[in-house]
Amino acid sequence: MQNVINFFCGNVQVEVSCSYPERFFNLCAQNDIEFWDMQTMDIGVFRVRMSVSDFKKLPQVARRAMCHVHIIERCGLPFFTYRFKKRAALIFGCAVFCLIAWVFTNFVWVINIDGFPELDAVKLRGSLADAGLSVGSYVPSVNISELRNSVLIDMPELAYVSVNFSGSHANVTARKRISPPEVLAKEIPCDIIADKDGVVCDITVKTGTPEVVRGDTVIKGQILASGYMTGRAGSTILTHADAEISLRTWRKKSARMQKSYAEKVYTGNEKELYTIILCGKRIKLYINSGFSYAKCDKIIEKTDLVLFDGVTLPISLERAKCREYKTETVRMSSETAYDTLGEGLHLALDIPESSEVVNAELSTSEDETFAYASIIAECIEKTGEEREILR
Amino acid sequence: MSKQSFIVRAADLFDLPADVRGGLMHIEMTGNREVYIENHKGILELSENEVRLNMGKGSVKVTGADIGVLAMNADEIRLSGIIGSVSFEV
Repeated sequence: MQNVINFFCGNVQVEVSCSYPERFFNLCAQNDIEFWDMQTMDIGVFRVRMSVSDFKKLPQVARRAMCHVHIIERCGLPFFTYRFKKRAALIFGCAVFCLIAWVFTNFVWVINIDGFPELDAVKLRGSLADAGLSVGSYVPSVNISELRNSVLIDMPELAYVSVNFSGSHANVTARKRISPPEVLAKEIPCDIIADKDGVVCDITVKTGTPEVVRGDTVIKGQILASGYMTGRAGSTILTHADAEISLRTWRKKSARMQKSYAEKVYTGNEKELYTIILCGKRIKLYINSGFSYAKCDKIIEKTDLVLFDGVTLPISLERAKCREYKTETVRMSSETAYDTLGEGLHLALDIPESSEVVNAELSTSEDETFAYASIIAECIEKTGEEREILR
Repeated sequence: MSKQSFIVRAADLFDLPADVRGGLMHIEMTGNREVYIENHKGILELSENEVRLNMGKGSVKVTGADIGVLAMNADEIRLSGIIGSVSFEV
């Protein structure tokens, strides 16, 4: 630590030659001249190191002690800076550098989000931006308390948000709100009703009275298991019906598609356009419009400037590649059209994961312009919806 | 009663250390490599093998080899080298 202080204050190493060194030391002590790091060079010749302020008192002492003093070395920051006194451009450059560094550290360059797997980071970034925190925001103008409140109102799924600034990095920590589990009101009497049409395939009633049997056809809204039960004494009691019921259902979808369609054919003409994005501002490096051709695909590649420690700077280079194309009408074969229709219809049936497809039949037809297809899928599906019994 | 006598009597009363009450020298040694001396009154003699310090009434002689002054101010001095002996001369 003392070495650091000495460096900042500056120190001088001097060589003293005198016949009576003890006289020199005593005069130094009397005049409060402190020295250290003494080296004896010869008889009556020694080197000592002292601070700049003490060195200024030395000539008077040397004269009285009849010593000859000469400087060996000047060390420390005052001498180092003195060397650059006449180099105005260098000093100006250093000042500008310090100013730029100070200005840039007052802006947010990176927003780090520490969240949870289900967190919608894009939504959170949007919410933060609405509240005044985005890349390029002026750090002193960000009111963290207001920002936190605004984000919590905007995203009710968050229980806690904290924002900490570490230089030009904004570290945002978000935690999920854990809602209390929904308590099933088992004491509320209810019936189990069908939520779709079908044929009862299997029924197991845990509580309540079954109203249908296997093989019955039911329609949507029909009671499958009733909450009314008959007690031992013949009295009627109301319960919260509970049953597992499977239905055999049939789902039908149909569609048509044109057999001729327009297809892209690339002409081979390509053009690359570059844009620099600085803190969200786009600086175009081309003169004309970005759309060079009447019909073209634009493939955009964005390269962010990343420092060696993984910090992404708000400067990026965007390369837009325009590929010209023209459209040609192509006529597809019937088989291709049926395959495409079949795939689309299977997806359109929207069969839940809990359901099982027992059988699926695809029927097809065509005319000059269109190909037609319809699918009928036989499924085994779970059913049963609680409906409260109103007294 | 002189001032010095009063200080000595007061220091005796409060059991103060000897270097405080009488302005006596306080000497600390680090092995035989360094000697730290407080309350000296200046250097009387300085050479590579011997340093003699004024202590008011008498002197202290430090002998050895390669003896040098590490640091010094009006009250304190730190000597380094291979210390052979520290003796008092009244």
